[in-house]
Amino acid sequence: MNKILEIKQLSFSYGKSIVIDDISFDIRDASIVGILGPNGAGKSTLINLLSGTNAPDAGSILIDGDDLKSIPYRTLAKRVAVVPQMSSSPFAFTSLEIVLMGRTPYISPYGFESKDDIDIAIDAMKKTDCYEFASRNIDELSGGERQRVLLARALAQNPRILMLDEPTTFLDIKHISALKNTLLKLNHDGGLTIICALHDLNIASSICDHIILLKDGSIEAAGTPDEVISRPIIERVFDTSVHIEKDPTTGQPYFLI
Amino acid sequence: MIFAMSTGSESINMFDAITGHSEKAHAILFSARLPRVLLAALVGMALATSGGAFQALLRNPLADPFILGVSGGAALGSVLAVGFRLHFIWISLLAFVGATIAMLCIFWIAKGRGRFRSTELLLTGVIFNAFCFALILFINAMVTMEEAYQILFLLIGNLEETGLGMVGIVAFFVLTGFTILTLLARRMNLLLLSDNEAKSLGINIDKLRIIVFCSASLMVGAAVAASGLIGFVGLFIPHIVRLIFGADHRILIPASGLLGAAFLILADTGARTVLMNTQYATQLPVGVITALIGAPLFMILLKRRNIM
Ligand SMILES: Nc1ncnc2c1ncn2[C@@H]1O[C@H](COP(=O)(O)OP(=O)(O)O)[C@@H](O)[C@H]1O
Ligand SMILES: [Mg+2]
Repeated sequence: MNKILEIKQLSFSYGKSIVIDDISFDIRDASIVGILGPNGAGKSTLINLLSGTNAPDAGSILIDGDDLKSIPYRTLAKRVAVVPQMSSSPFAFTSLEIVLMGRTPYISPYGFESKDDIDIAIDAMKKTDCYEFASRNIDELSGGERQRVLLARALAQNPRILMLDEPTTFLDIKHISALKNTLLKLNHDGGLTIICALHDLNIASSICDHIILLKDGSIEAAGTPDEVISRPIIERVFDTSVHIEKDPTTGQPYFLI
Repeated sequence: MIFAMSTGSESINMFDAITGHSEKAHAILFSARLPRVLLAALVGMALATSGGAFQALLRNPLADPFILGVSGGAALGSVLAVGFRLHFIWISLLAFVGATIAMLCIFWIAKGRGRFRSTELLLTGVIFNAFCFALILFINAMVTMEEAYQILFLLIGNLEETGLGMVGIVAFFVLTGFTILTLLARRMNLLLLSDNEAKSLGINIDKLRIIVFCSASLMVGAAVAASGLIGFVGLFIPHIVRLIFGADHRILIPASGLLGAAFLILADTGARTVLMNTQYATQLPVGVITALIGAPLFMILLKRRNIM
């Protein structure tokens, strides 16, 4: 299997506090990888490093064999798209304007969006079920609606790798289920590699091929959901007692507090 | 514009003036009115465009062209010229030098913390401004009454004492800045997102901020050098444009420039004519008019719609 990302001895600190501590792992092309761990484990920081928005203090990240450091922002934005946890702006853009920003790396620096760009943006909005808010201001949307707009913006970038930072935080169960289906479909039909920071073990176990369990900036466990979501590992990492069952129909592990 | 040129404390007949039928009208038109109206347009454009740019740069709806210390530097330069009793050409020259030095200082200090971020920039600018104005008050305390009055006039902002040469120089900076900002307008939209988002959408945000900061600062420097601190234009014109056309900078930047130009021509025409038939028979500094119109208008806007 092809590796789309190779992470070698990556470290990052904010001032003196080390947040990512010498971690290495590979991500297979067209896989869905969950980054899990308690609050403050370093999930968001790792997403920032992998997406190139923060530079590591040490170590390297290779995308398709190219060193991330040497890829210009514009080129990188065609390969990697990020759905941030939050997005706010002091002046309101409409949802469609926000999604069209996803076309930035494809539009010449001084140019305007073409008809194609607009079609791609609208298509992305339909895929994430937010086209109905196209002309509404982003600051008038609920957290979950806004998240779908941000996912559409990421899809408009037409990336090879999609990274999401706790995308289920603001979603109700209907939209969590819709998001899971959208991600599975993008992965299955488009071969999109998906890296998703999550704190919900059940969601992770139902969509991920591979799980990386972080604690205090180090990898505590990595592997398939079956391997990682076991009672001793989870209790150690999350520091609380849990109860784990197997879903009788799918065989996926799920847990109860 | 034609209306603005024909009105003033001495009203003139356009036709007579252009054809040279009336020598007095001709002289007034070309040596006083034309440069003044052109300058009003350029200064209005500079202030409104740079105001919009600073609001994006600082992600702050209350930013105006004078918030970032560039104005403080420029004002200090011109006040120094008054303080040392230099020829009046020096007032503009030193103002522009002051603005440029201020720009470089702010840039250098804000950049010192590694990345060129909104908060650093805002803090540095505001503190730099406070320092400049303290120095200005210091100088103000040491000059004669008449010079102190001249300083007050500079600080309120006015468009008097203009030649076509001055207009040419101001035009160069303002039109260059305006063109650069208009070309960057699409990318400026992304300045309003978080740094991480802008980067992951393929924007080199540090570089973009630096270019926007420098272009807008040079426009402000030229405007303050030519006309002092004319308030409110740069604050509320971009907001009005935003209310009408939305937040997209591709419309916001050029439309603010044009509306700013039109507004300041009108305000200046008002400044020249309001008191002309009264017992005072004088011209008001245009800064008084813009503040008198701008402040209440801005408060109404704030109250009517949440622009924050
Ligand atoms: N900008 C920052 N400056 C300093 N420390 C930070 C910053 N962002 C995050 N941290 C710290 O880094 C650690 C990891 O944070 P984060 O990656 O956001 O965790 P997670 O996303 O897993 O909850 C936390 O201890 C947090 O306090
Ligand atoms: Mg996080």
